[in-house]
Amino acid sequence: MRQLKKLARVVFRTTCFEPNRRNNMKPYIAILIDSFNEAVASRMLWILFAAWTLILVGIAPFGYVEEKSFELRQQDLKDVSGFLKQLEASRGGKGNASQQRVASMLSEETAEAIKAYNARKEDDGNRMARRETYRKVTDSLNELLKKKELYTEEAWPTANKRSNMKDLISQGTENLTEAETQELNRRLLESSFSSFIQPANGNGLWLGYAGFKLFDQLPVTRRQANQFVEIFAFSVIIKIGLGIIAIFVAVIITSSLIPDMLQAGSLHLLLSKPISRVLLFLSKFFGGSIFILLNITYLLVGLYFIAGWRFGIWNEGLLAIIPVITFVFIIFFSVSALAGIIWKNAIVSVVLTIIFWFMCLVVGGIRGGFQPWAEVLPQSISVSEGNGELFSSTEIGQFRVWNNETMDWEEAVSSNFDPGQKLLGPIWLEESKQLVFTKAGRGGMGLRGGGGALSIIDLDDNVDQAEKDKAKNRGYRWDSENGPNVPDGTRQVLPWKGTMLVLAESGIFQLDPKKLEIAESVPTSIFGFSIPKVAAVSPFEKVTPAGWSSERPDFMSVTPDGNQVWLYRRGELEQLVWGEKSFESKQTVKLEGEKNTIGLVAVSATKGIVIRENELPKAFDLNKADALQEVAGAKIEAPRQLWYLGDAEQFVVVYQDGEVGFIDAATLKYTKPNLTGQGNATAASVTKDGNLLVAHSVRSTSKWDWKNSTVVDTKVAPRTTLQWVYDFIINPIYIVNPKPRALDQTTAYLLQGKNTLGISLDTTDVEQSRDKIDPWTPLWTNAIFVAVILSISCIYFVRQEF
Amino acid sequence: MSAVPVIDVNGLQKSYSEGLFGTKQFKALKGVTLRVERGEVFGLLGPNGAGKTTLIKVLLGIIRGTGGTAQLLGLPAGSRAARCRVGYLPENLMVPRHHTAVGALKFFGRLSRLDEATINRRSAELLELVGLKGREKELARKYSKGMRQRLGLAQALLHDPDLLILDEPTDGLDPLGRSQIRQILSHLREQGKTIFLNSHILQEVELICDRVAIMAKGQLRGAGRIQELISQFSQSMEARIRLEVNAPQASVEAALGNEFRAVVIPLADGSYCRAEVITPDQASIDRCIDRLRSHKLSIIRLDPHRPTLEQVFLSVVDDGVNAAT
Repeated sequence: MRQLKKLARVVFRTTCFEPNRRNNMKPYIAILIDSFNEAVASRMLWILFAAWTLILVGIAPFGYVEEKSFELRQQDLKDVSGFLKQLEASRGGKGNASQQRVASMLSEETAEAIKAYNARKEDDGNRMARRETYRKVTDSLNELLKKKELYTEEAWPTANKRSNMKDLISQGTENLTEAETQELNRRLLESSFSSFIQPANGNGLWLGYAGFKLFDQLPVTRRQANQFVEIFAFSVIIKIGLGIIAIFVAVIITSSLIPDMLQAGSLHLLLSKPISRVLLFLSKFFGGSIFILLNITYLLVGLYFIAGWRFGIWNEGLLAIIPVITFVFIIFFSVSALAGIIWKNAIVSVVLTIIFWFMCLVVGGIRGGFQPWAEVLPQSISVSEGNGELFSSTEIGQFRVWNNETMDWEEAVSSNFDPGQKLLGPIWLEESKQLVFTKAGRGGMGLRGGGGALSIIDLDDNVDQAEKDKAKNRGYRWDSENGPNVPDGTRQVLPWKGTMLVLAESGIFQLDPKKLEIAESVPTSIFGFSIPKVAAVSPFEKVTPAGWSSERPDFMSVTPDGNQVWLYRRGELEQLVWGEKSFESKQTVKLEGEKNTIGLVAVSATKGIVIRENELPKAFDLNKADALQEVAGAKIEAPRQLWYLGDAEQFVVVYQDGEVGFIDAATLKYTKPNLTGQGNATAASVTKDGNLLVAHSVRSTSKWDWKNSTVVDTKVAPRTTLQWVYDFIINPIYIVNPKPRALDQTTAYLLQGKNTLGISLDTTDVEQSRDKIDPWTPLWTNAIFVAVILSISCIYFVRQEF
Repeated sequence: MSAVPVIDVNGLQKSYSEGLFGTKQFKALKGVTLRVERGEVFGLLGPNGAGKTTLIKVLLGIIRGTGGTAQLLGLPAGSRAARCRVGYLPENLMVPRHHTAVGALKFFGRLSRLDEATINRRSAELLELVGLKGREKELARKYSKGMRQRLGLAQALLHDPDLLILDEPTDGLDPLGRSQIRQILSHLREQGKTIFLNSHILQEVELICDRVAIMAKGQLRGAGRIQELISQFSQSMEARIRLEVNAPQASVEAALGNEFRAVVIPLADGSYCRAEVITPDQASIDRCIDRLRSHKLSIIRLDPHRPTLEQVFLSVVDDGVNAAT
């Protein structure tokens, strides 16, 4: 060992330093400073600076315009179908006086559109027509908001006593300004249709340019808009502006740096100086990176101040990514420098660097194309047991059942592949031996919620075996039947008292299994799809108080006895208690922090846990919910699923990064079991026998005996062909191949400070898969690549005789 | 004064691999032995491809020799300690485009680990010496070739080296530029600097150098003071006399007959001529004069011909073939 150390010291001194000399690093610092001077003297630097300045000046006027506004937006409407029915009925003289007043003041054209809409079958699939009707109604109501004559004392006899209207009414509607009229009328509408129109906070937000409004009012809060700016606008500027354009230009400009140094009249003079060749090369190399460093710093510092000044986003991540982008350039520059040192030609350097870039792009692109289909979309986002079967649903809306003969997942029903849909359920109805489920569509900005038919699978033992076999041959297990439509905007279903509870836009509904009749398919069809009849009497019965409504991303949990529903909604915890026939709101506890933060709640008979994204879990006593206590030992991460384990006060949380943790709500302890699937979990659920099912690692599902910390069973589905190709061909090549683009993960992490990244714009569905961000691995893997390339270059430079 | 030679090269060899697989060997230096003493201005002569620049590269450690030894100032040639004490002006010096004369001197001074005060002081002195004062803030890329060479000389002198190695310092310069460089070198010689000058411009070497060496095809063909070298090589060259005869060309040729190898050139209006006659020994000179006199031809002038350095050089590099003819 001593010999080795001695050898290393000799090599180090020979190549780099002379220990007895002062100013050892002075020559190399001089080369770095000279490279800086060279960059400053470069015309190209100033051209790029001018281009960046133009971009910054161009985007600086962007910002928000915030004004008081009571304009009605489409997303302010809840249960639109119900609302339109109500409007039509009110126009026909039904409903209270205020509703009739509003309906009567709508234009004939709007009334006709509403009539046509209500006459249409609900699941006709014509989304465009639906949206057009929504737009027409919203526009018409906004016109109504401008009318001073809307208010009459007869229609709204109590309005002049309400705090939010009495001042305005007392002024006399004819004396109100346009803005005041809009506010009063909006309040009137809200009071008339409280179940359908969300109360406005009066703050309107627009995207603006130099103070002028661009487009319509933004349908999101300022915080959500900022998230969009941080995630997407920054990414576009950084990935395209810096990651591609700036680096490409820098690669071209710096390509001549090494070949120029190697020209005889320049190199021989440098080599005659008392300096190390290795450090000469490295100084020149890192000096060349100063060019891109100056560019990146200029643009990102400018962007930082513009984002802070105009949007209020003071994101230090923008400054932190300066070295990351420089490092991306260094990866490409190392290849360019190696080519330059071997071939001494700038054009060859550029061409080879572009080929390298292209190779990385192709390998990364192929992997990126395969990855969602091999790793993300086949993930189980729910797993459950029922009737002795193991079920799971995937990110692409596949409903699967485990086949013990083939030891593989099999399609549970036909027409199963439904990208953009999320499976809600399945719920096993023990009494009727039926399995029910529905689907909710994923929208760009959130889970839209279901509204289609409830699918019913009859698993009665009496089902004919031949029928089963027939279904098997068709490639799926069971035939499903279309049942009645679930309430509009259904977002969550839970088993409850032998049936199920549905969280929808206009409230919570219970399913009455007795009224659950299977709708017969009519013989005619549209575009090959059979149209279900609408059940004469809906089996879904609203069990929340009148006026109670829900919006995304509300989330509910039910106590084991089913007598309490706890909801995490809009930054609040709400307790609903079962009365005789419905739930009553008992208490609401406001949580500290941003109200729009998504979160989950789960309750036992006496305790509850609420976890909000990137916050510590908080435990509470159901009888004293305002005394929240943090579970200090837990991790701060986005939660994905949260369940009560059915025993004592134990809860299980699955985080977006795949960690499974147990929370003891009584002792506030967090434990991380070291069992199969830990770190890669995507879903979990508690089985009837008290075990924990954990779906993990894309293809596996394990049953944990969590009390004894053992794994009872693990089922691993065989790889599909696509997964095989991905695992054994594409991924190994990707691992070996340098990955400059993987540093996007580091950039994303530094910008957002999150370990996971949504796979869509949907920020409201906590259960949706997210890409795990690994910000540090790309740094060291690429650093190894750069180190190898630079080592080869140094060895070549030292050994080469010029 | 130390007796250690400034440059001490013994049997130095350098081979390059050639061909696609490096199987062929090209010998650029074939056992060169050379000594340069302190305070000497030493000129290394040789045609292109003789191995002069290769020798300099080995001395500076830019390339490694494949045999023999080379020392600078008693230190292994190419070692960092040796390089600290050498100033080098390469052939076709290239100054980075963004440098001014002051910027370039600052940069090269830092590479030589000089402190800023020394760099500033020495830069001012040297810019004055090389005649660039007043233009030191101009970009070097706008300089003429002569100015660039003078700047190169300044950077070579910046750290006050014990040995100055100059590779073709006047190559490509006009007469004025050459003269300026010569003046600087003369000044440096007066200061007692050891200068190793590599050139193929013979007049320059003749004017500046105390000693010269001639290289050809990787070998040192001769070394010494210029007069010694001429004497040494003139013995091996064919002796001749130059005559001016007061008679037409035909008469002179007729008088010399076939006994003498001679070149006769008519001068002026052709009434007299110049003859260069090969005369290997004194007896043949006597016979030649007797022959001309016996034909009653008047000899106006007679010079024993003395070879120039150029002739010696050409004779040496042509492997002894008579260069004069």
